[in-house]
Amino acid sequence: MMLREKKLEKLLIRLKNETDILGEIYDLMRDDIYRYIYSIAKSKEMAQDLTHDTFIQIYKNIHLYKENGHPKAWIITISRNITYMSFRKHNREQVVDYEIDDVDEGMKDIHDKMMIRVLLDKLSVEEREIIILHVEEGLTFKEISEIMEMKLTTVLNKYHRSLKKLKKSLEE
Amino acid sequence: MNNRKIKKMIRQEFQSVHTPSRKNELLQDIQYISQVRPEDEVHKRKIHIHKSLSLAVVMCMIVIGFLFWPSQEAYSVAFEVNPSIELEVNNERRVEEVICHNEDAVLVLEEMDLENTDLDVAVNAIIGSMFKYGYISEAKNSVLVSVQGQDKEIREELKEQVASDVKDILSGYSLNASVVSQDYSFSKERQELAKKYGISVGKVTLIKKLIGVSPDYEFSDLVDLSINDLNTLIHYKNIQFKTITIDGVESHSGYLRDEEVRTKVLEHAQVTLNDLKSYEDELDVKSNQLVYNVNFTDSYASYSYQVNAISGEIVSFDVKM
Repeated sequence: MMLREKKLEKLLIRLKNETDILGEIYDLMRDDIYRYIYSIAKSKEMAQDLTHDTFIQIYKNIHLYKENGHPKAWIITISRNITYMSFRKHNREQVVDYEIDDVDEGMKDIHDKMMIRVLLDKLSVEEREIIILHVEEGLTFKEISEIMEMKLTTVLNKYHRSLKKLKKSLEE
Repeated sequence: MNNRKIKKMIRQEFQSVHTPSRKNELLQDIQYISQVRPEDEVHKRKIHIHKSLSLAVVMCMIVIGFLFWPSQEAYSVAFEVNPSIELEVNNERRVEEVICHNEDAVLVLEEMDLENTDLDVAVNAIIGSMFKYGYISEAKNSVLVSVQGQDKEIREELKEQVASDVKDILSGYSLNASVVSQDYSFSKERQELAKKYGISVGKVTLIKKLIGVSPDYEFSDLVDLSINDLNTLIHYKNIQFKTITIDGVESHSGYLRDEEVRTKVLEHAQVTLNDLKSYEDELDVKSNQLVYNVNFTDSYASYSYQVNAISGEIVSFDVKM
């Protein structure tokens, strides 16, 4: 278990009795959660709001956390549930796959990054999630298969295909 | 651009994306929110049970309908060493789909795009990469080739061609491989076992055939053994299969030799070679590991040992005076 994960696990355990600890967890994890939600939602504002909501849910449901060496996977699961729940609630499925051209001015800083642009443009939501969770968040394929409720082989094959798609797009 | 560079770029670009802190707002918000108590959850779960049951009934009906829907079968060629890779091929023997069955397979295939390539080109690339990454070596020289499809004649022809290609490719790396090849038609039972244990249908089939002739073994006893271990067990027990071809001798360099086992147990029992009245050992399996069952006697006692065939660790022993 990485040092950062160990620290996160300790903080989550302390949160059960010390509410102020949430601020420390927020500082440690907010960018990771934001990037992950952004990769699904493709909306800066939505990602910011859902990141905030994720930490509220962590606080509310901390009694459900069991010390198991996978604190990040637990938090990612919460943020994923919140994001998809939000899509269902606001019937925003269409927004999930909107074109990059429709992006407002406020998001240009992110879309100036070539790889992120290709990733958002060329990959499906599931493919983006797998790539971000493995490459950026460092989760194992097994953890990802549990979070996304997919067979391990499905995750592995989607990951493999996604990298191929990215490679092809970058070479075009 | 290779995959390593792509991953590096993803990391670099995402690491530079930050969100402004709303920590103060968050800490203010939680002052008005109470944490869920465990007893609240129990109540909620009871309410949800009725809904979940109805949903489960509907899902079961969909699954049953799907299972009985007639399906078209394609030919697949699978390779298992530890990386487990399956290729779906069409009538022209071109690769239509590549399926990874474990993480090692992703590593082996990482830089390759094998779809629409000829089967022999794909076999060359996969076996070459397995060798390059050290999955196939002098100590681990067994490769399982499995062909699944409807027409027996086509299956057998494919099996012979691919097994021979694998052997030739590895000969090119100066490696004398042991290629275990088999063919079979689709079986729902084997497919489900493969899913349950997270292994390939090819490995399931090999284990099932092994159990067929050695009924003392349970499926779960053998599931974690490597192909080289299974191949060694088949060889050691002198099992001949009608439907499995083994070309070449598996490597034993990763296992303890009989003399090493004898030295180990005699040292442990403090018995000298001259004191031995009888001695016999046999390769067997215990808890998904190859072990030597050793029985020997001297003038004072009879001894029974189990020794891990790879690590040399004494797994268990018993002495009867």
